[in-house]
Amino acid sequence: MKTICLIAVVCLAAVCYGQDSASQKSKWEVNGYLKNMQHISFDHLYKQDVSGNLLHNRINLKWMPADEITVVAQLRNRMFWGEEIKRTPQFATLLRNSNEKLNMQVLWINSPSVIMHSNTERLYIDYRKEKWNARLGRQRINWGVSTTWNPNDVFNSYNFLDFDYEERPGVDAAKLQYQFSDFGTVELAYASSAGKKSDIVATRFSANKWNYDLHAITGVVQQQITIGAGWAGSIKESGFKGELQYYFTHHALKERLNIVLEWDRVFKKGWYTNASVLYNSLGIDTVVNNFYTIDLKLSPQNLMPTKWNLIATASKEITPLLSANTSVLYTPGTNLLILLPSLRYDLATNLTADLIGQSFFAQQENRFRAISTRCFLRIKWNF
Amino acid sequence: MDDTGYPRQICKQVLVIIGCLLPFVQFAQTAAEIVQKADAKMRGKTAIVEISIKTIRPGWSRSMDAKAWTKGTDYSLILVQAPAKDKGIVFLKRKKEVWNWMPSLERTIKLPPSMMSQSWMGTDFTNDDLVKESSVVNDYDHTLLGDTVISGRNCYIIRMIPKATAAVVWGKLIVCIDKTDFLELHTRFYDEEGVLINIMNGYDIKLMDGRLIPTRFEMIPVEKRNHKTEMIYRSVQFDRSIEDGFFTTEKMKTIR
Repeated sequence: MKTICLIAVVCLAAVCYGQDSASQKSKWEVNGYLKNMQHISFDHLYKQDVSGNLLHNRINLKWMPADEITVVAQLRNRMFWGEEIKRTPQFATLLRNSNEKLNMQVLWINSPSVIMHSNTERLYIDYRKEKWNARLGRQRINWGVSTTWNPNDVFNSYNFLDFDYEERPGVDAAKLQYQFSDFGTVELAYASSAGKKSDIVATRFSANKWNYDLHAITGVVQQQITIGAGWAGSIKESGFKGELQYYFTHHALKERLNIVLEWDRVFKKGWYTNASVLYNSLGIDTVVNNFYTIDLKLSPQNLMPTKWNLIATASKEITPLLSANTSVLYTPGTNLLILLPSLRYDLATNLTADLIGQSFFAQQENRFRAISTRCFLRIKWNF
Repeated sequence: MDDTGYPRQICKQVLVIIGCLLPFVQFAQTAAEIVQKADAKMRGKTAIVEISIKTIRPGWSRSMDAKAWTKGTDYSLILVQAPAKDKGIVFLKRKKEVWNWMPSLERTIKLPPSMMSQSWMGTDFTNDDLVKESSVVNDYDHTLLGDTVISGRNCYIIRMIPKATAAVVWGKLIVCIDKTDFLELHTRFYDEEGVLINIMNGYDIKLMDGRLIPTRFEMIPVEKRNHKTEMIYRSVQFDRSIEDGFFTTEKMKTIR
């Protein structure tokens, strides 16, 4: 009896100790940032310039009540003021993410001079036990592997020009994952958005073989059946990634193929280079006479309005505090050129300054000319 | 410290030459063993370490805290704990593959192999220094050059030349290892042209998890005045059981 009691005491002590060591890690995590960004846009066609200001805050909350359960809430609060909102009709309506089924945004102030807007960017519960993982709620489903364009992100696209949105938009979804080996998973996800017939259901099988991350995707995206595949590996010292996604014809919706190929490499003295190509079979490949008629509304099916898209990036850490990055995007056929230079300076431990440019050039009425230029100055404080 | 080679008198008589070569061969084996012992001491079969890395430059400095799990030379996982802007970033190395987890985006990014030779997050350490792609034991030929005294400790001086087949960033290393406790107290890193690039010194020898080890290392780039990176071991656990399945992209998502 005494022995049993002793064993019980030892076991209890072990359980208590286990709880103690587990509870050393906080059940709560709070972080986020505050950004102030000013920008000025020059419209070279109509000889106008517009300025704008944005105060941008994000608060990320994570609660881990048990080892298996994580609850995440992330809020994005933005305050806009300046000429930009005065000149843009219905500016506040543009802030809504149409991928989101539930309206969890609040428009605190909507005046001609100031707009204050909050959105619940993530709100999910995550359950993870042994090989299983389930996540329910507003989340982002990142299935893509390449840097600029992700045809395999069938649930949620993003605009690569929107550099001030590093978390990218989410979607209201349920996802179940089973891990069958160290690098092998099967995922099944369902998402619904605000539009009619906009449901997405898809599955992904991923594995690692021959030093390549490989995956295959199939599903139905807004009524179109789709299949796709992606890989991330290397050829000698260079990275080599790719994504393909094919959508079958469904009534008025035409078949579509999106392909991305990407190469990247780091050279001596810290030069990072990246080159990639996106082919969008339904994209425009002829010169558009009015640049402003190009529909820049992007979706998982339509990552760029243009058919062939080439982007090359070079970046270099000039000092540990200062880094420079330049990207050049060119679309043959439409003859559109975008220059994206940027500089980043680390002002203090959690304080960063960015100077970013976006210059658009296009062929208009038989003349290749500058369309618009935007400059952004951003200060970011992380906490 | 001299790096002109192993001083050895060349004798005319064949027997004497053979007599000279024999200890040379023995020393070569011993040098490899010494490096192997020093490496095994810092690395263990597995290691879980919490480190602070301070990058010091004229006029400013930045500090970073990280936790690393390593198993031999094949597997390592590094979690950035501070500063706030980088907290939660994870690096995973599994044999020849390297991934990066970006917590803000919740996405895994596969890195090109050429990333390994680059500076790690603005420090004077390369990715290779941290995740130890190259093995100081297997990827080099070791020669015992002599001995010296560092901080009152008697040390071996060992030259390490990378093998032709090894993918190593350096052209040559000169390492000083304590004779009694096998502590790597001083290392000189030379490039392929034989130019001295970095000097690393080990300090603050303490008993950590039952092992006597240097707990502070300084990496000093030779040609840059007042530049250095300091790495301090805050906690160390050696030889805890870590499954290979720990070093996965799935683990990167949940590690804290």
